[in-house]
Amino acid sequence: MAGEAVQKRRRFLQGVLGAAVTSFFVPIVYGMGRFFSFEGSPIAGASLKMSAADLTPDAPSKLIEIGGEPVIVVRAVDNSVHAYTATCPHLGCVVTYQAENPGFFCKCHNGKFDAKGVNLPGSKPQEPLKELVLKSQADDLEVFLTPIKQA
Amino acid sequence: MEQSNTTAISGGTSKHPTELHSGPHSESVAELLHVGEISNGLHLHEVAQALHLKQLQDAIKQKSVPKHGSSIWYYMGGLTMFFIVIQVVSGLMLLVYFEPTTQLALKSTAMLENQVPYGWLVRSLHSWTAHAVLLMTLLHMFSAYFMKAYRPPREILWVSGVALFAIVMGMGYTGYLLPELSGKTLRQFFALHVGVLPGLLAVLGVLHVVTAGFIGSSTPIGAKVKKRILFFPNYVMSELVVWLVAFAAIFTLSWVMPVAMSAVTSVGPKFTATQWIRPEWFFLFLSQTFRYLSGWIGNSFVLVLFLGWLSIPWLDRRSRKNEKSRAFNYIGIAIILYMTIMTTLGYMTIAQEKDAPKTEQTPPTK
Repeated sequence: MAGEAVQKRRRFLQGVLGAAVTSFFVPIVYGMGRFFSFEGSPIAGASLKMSAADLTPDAPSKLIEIGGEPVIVVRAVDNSVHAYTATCPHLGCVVTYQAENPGFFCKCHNGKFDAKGVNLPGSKPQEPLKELVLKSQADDLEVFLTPIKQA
Repeated sequence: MEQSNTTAISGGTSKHPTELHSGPHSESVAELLHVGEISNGLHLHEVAQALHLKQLQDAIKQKSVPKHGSSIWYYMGGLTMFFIVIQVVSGLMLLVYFEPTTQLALKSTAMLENQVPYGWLVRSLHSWTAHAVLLMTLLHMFSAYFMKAYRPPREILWVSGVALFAIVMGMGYTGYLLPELSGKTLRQFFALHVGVLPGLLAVLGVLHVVTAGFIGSSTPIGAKVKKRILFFPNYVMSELVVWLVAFAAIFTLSWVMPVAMSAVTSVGPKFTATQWIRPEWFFLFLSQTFRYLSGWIGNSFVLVLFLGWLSIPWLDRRSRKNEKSRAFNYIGIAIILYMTIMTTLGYMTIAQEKDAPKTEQTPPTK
């Protein structure tokens, strides 16, 4: 009987220890999860000014660099101007714009996106290119390294 | 002459490997791993034999730690190691967001501080624990010095320990300015801080700890050993409690008093805050020495001191014979006095410069 009581007490104490260890590590693991899943860039909000006249029907796209990040500015078929991140979401190569068959193309793994930067099914990238905030006044453009919030 | 240098591990029983699992009731690591061999064919049993895991386990079982009046100082080395582990984990976490380029060093630190969830806490932990590593290293080193723990056969522990002290000083020196630096200096300091020095620290640290484990703790000359405590599980458990308390303390400090961000939050022109950038407390005794003795004189002076400090186990001849050596107590006290006075003078110099920031570029008059 005494042995059984000791066993019982031991199991209880082991349970207490296990609970203590768990409650010690759970917040740490939670905090680390939050820490590592952050999405953002130290250069968010940086901008670059350019002229819309640089985008001609012959060369409707221009690759620029904002704070070290490649950005592609495109004059679309409807003549509107848009800016996208030029980094392929697959493995990070720089994409190019193809005017003849409007859309983006990544040479590294044959990644394909439509004219609005949405990844095409069947190609490697699983995410669209991010469209960036662009302010225009007549021909003066200012591209911001800030993604347009999706509705 | 007393025999106080008995090694704590008598292990190394020279059984032939094939006899290892012959005992019917020994729960050896090798036997436990034997199950693994059957299920996955990794031949872990043979690996365990080749690595002498059974002997290692026996050695750990027999290892004991002497208990006497100065036993509390034995915790300082373990605490140093524990804090270094925190530094490795928090440092790797910082590495995920810190960008070591002129344009982004400060900005990425500001992002970490202001946007990344718990980024401020990780940075704060890394900073507070850096102070803790230096403090514990100093306590560990000077307690080993005054307990004459460098006596044979522990010279290697002293030499590797002094080298480790130099390395953690280097870690502190190359670390705390990283967000403020630019260009080549930034790249060099970054390479030293996350590559070269941690590599050396790992190699020498493992050598230091493993050797300490095998040779066992030294007992001060003339100390009365009340009893010996089994290393595992008794001593390890008491050490774990100390670590837990230390973690709680460092975590509370980091949470309640996060590292000052004055320089980092302002993403303005760099080095506007130059007058506030000063050596950390653990470096002041050196920087102050270099103020008085500049150029090769200062370098030679510090080098001679360092080499002398490394050679203590051989210079202290009386301790080598397990005799009391008062002279080396006084030398130790003199060194602590020197470090304390230089640090105080260093703080006074900083206070003067704070009052007159415009004269900061001119060399000190005294």
